[in-house]
Amino acid sequence: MSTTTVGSHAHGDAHEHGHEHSLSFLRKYVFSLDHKVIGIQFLFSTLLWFMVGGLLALAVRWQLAWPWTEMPIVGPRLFAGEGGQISPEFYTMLFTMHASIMIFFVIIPILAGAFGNFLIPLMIGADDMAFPTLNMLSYWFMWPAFICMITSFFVPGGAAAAGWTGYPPLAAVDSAAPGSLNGQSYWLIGLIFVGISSMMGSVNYMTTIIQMRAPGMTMFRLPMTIWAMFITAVLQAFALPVLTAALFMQLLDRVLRTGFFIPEGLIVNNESIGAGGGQPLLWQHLFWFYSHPAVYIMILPAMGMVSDMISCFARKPLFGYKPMVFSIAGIAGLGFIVWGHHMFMSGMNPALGMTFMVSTMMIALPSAVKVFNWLGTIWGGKIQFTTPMLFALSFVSMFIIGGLSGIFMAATPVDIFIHDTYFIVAHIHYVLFGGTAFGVFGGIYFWFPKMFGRMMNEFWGKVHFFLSFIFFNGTFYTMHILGAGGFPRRLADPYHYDTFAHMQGMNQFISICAFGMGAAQIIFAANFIGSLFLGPKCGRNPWHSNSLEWFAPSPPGHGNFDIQPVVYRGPYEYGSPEVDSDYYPQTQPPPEGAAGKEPHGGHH
Amino acid sequence: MAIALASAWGALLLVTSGCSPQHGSPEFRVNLQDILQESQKATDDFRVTGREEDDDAKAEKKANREKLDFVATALVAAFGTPDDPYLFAEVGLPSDDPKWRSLEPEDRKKRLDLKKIELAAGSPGGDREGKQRGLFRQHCAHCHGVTGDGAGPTAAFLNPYPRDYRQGVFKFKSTERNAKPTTADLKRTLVEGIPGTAMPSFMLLPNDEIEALVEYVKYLSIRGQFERDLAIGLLAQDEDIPKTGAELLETYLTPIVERWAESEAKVVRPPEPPPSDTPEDHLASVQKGRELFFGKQAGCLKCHGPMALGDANDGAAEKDRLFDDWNKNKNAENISLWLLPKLELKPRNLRLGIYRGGRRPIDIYRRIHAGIPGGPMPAGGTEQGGQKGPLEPDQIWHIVNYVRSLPYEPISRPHAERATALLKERN
Amino acid sequence: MGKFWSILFLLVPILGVGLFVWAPGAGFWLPRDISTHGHQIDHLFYFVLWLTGVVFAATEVILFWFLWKYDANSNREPVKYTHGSHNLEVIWTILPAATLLFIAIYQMNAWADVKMRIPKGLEKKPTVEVTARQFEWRLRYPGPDGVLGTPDDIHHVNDLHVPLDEEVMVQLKSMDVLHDFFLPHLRIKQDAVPGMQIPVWFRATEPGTYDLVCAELCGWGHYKMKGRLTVEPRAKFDQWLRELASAQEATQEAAPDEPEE
Repeated sequence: MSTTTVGSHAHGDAHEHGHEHSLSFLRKYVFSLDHKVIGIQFLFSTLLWFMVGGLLALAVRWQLAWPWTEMPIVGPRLFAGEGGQISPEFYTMLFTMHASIMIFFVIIPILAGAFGNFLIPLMIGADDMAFPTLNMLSYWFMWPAFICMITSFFVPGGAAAAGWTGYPPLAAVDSAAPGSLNGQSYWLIGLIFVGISSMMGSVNYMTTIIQMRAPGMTMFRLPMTIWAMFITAVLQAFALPVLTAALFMQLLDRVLRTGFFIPEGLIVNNESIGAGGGQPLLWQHLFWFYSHPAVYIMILPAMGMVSDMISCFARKPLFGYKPMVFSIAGIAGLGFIVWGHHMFMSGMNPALGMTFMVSTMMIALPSAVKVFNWLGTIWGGKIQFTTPMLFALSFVSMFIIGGLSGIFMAATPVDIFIHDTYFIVAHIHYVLFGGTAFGVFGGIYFWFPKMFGRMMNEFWGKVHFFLSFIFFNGTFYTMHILGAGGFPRRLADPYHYDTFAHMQGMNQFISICAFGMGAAQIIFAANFIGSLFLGPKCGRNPWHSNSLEWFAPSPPGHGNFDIQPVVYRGPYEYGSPEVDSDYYPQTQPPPEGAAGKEPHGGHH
Repeated sequence: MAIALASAWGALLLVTSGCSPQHGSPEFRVNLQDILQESQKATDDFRVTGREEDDDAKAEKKANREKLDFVATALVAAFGTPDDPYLFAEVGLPSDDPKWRSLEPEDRKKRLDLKKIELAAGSPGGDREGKQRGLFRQHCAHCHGVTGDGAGPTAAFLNPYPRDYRQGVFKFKSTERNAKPTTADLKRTLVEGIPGTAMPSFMLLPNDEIEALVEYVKYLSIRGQFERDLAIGLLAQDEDIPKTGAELLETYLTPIVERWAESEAKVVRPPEPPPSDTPEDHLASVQKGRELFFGKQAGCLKCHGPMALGDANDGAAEKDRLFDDWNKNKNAENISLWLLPKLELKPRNLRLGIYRGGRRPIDIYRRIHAGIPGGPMPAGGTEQGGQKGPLEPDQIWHIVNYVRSLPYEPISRPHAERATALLKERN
Repeated sequence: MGKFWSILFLLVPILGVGLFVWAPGAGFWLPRDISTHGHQIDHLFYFVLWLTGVVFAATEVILFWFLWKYDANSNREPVKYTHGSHNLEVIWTILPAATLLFIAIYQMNAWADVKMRIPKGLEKKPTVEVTARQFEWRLRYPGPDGVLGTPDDIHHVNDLHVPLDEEVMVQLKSMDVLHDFFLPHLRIKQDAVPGMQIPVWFRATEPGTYDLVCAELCGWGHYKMKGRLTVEPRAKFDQWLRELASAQEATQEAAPDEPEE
């Protein structure tokens, strides 16, 4: 598909030409085929779910700090008969839905759906995705999932309560857990829809990145964001079908009483259960075969965005571009052979503990290489401490912690002790929150001007960063200590064990920091919403960045670019001796008479 | 500036949304179901019938409401609230009270220890002396309910349901069928749990906490039965509102308390079993037990089935299905009056080795002798001073031996053959 | 402002290392280890802790240093325009790779000891069968005949006793859903999988009572699945078993003597 024709919608896809003025409100803003609108739809939806997931976490923290006391907001309304104290099954629902929402409705869609959608065509110089209708569908297929999850809270038994990992037989047998009524089935159906949406996106992104790059945009001139999105899309494509299959199998076990995961001879809640003949471990293998690559799906795009932001604000080229690309590919490739490290204690053949230990240790290597390269990027730069840069730097700092704590878990004998303790919870949140979420915040501050044509407030952005950073570390670093003490996950009341009775004070400290962190997000919400309407208007390139999206207007119109961009160099030419200014955009032609660097006629 | 204001407003909103419409302690749930079931009149009072009411009907309705109000007041006066329990001195006293110390031992045994009840009552957490309080709400209320009606939030998902103490019927105990359980019985239930149900073992709680919980269960049971008897007496049987506290106590409360007090005297103490120390004697006993199991005298087959799998009643018609006594009257019409839908009872599958009331020979003896009150398992033995049952003690012991051998008897090779073969071998 | 942010990032290694230095003394650390496997696992934990601690401190301090030194407000030098260093990439790929591979291989022996090398003869002689169910631990000891699955088996719940200084084998099963047999003080953890029978072996070296915790979500009562491990000399253990066995065969019950309060 040639994109050399200037200013035309040469991809001939299923949308009519030159008619944006006559599109109805519904076609323009609701069922839009424009990748930017779809990206912003994803952004708003996921930010709303972020609030829901966060509130659920705060409820968990309340119970752990002050167990069986009256829980604010929820207690008097739902448990008045018991004096406001929550019931134990409610607690299991809280942490299940917190994790499920954060993983499937916040992190994955915000990275791929919001940032991927918005940035990919802009950064590669295309005017839209390869399949705009498929793109629109990938957003709207999230809505049945949204409805399933919201409905699940209100059905008898409440929302799913078997952990976000949904291990059978607990999740597969109705009577094993409250919430194992319809709520658990809704959870399965919701996740199936999320999977379909992600598959659609993944196909779109791979095709777009391969086929629709602007002239001169070779693969090794792509910004790291795009490389990360590309490899993430490949991960989605290979891993998701396994999860979808497993979800269907468990749904059949629940609804039709098949026996994929349920062995014979079980007596649950006074009844003999099910067809039998199944294996609980089968679910674990299938689930983790997807969910391990999923955790890389949840971090690689953020790593890409962070590379772009750090290079831009250090005013210096990215250190080791090709090693960075190969590291991402290495993480993704190795990511397919490490899933067993979630199952060391599961009862699978212990010999597998050895093999997965080796592969899991090795996957730390490309991540380490990336950290060193980020440090190399900062070295010798001229660092501008803007809000996006602060979040990007904190990504590096927090990811170091999260990555290093992962080595404890990779060490299989050590995992015997720390599996299913708060050590794991600390690790998860350092990589996903301290890593990805901070990277996402940075990305929002960074690309907000491009999305909406206005700047977010820098001062309040820094306040948001400062408070989030302090409270985040207060909340989650301390959890490493809890985990070293063996403090288990998912217990509604751990303090009646002698081993953990003295840890309540530390939990209270963690909860107070968590409430502080939650409160700090109010500042972000106010900044975000306020800036949408009142932020100072900005030009095309407020950050003086090199990549192609800054070449388009802020916000870009339909078709993205006024004239077809042509690419002459990589995206990290900051501080180049060839020009006077400290940045050298990809699409700026070389000075007259400069040798080489002719634009290529094709894509590769 | 705008952002600062917006943030502050957002924070304020979040904080104040925690301020709830209802603060404070939970209350005991009002027990209307039994009353409404027993009294058609009372039911009519609460139904909108659309009929024209004459003055007589209106006056009667007003009198009934007064009676219900009295019931509510009497309950609080006699028992207090979940956070603040209370008892009449004739019913219970705190054990550090001088009046308690001055009582005779037999009188003390008839009363509840209010000190223990206070330990179990209230909301979870420590009191000023650092002693753990709120034990019932911490450990029990989410299944058994704050009122002890077996309808806490978790109960709906359990099979069988948690015990409803208000009925005053406890299934697994050492006493005769219609007697109350002893304190030791309740303590044993807490310590051992009830295998095969959701009632777990609380063995690892400190002894004083277990005893506090046992006392609180008795408190809730007495309270529940009192509420029921008082409401039915006033509304269904048209008795007058008692004029004095003493009359209230005498007519409605004392009979219940006395039943609890006499439970010790009603413990089933079986005679020594027939000798079965040698393998031959034991096998002979098992064989006799098997014959009795299949025989007409005991009638075990009818429910437990010829293979002792508990499947004899499977697929029965609606009217033949088995239910707890207090569930029998639940039907499609009155279901909205009840907290939980009724669950069918299944006779025990005796081949699993799971015995709800305990696995010791004496436990199984008691189960057969007294049956399981509240349900269809009949009394097989002769109650002290009561009606003659179908089985002699020796016969019950033989059945006990047979039942205990069932989990180890291959279902396709009945024991009789093995017994004969073994005996032949030795000879 | 750049200096302020640099200091903020410096707080990460300072407080991070500081917390790990403070915690053990303040009583927030690994529970007391009373098993033979435990000290292998603890040793590996400390090994990884030191290694990652050094890397953590080094990288975070380097991060701080670069932020401090290259702050645009104070750095007057031109930007070091470079796209990377091949040599550095080789070094910082090979070195971590070798280290990680070493760590992995170093741990294999401990893993095999705990999970693969069951002591000879123990496989067929379980000390106790532990069946996890919602929400308690049902125990079954072989009775006097030494064989599990016969009528003289001794049944108990939640209160697990094992003999001191002997190799103990627990046959782990589940009646309904996944549970996990976690003994913090012995560094033992194993999922109980319905449909599977999994041996867990250990040797406890100090008498006392310790927690048994369920460490796999098993429903609303997951937090309630508290068990207690009692480690006692063999003579006391045998006596305890005998008492349980005879109590289990009780055909008579004495009238309880209620102590006067």
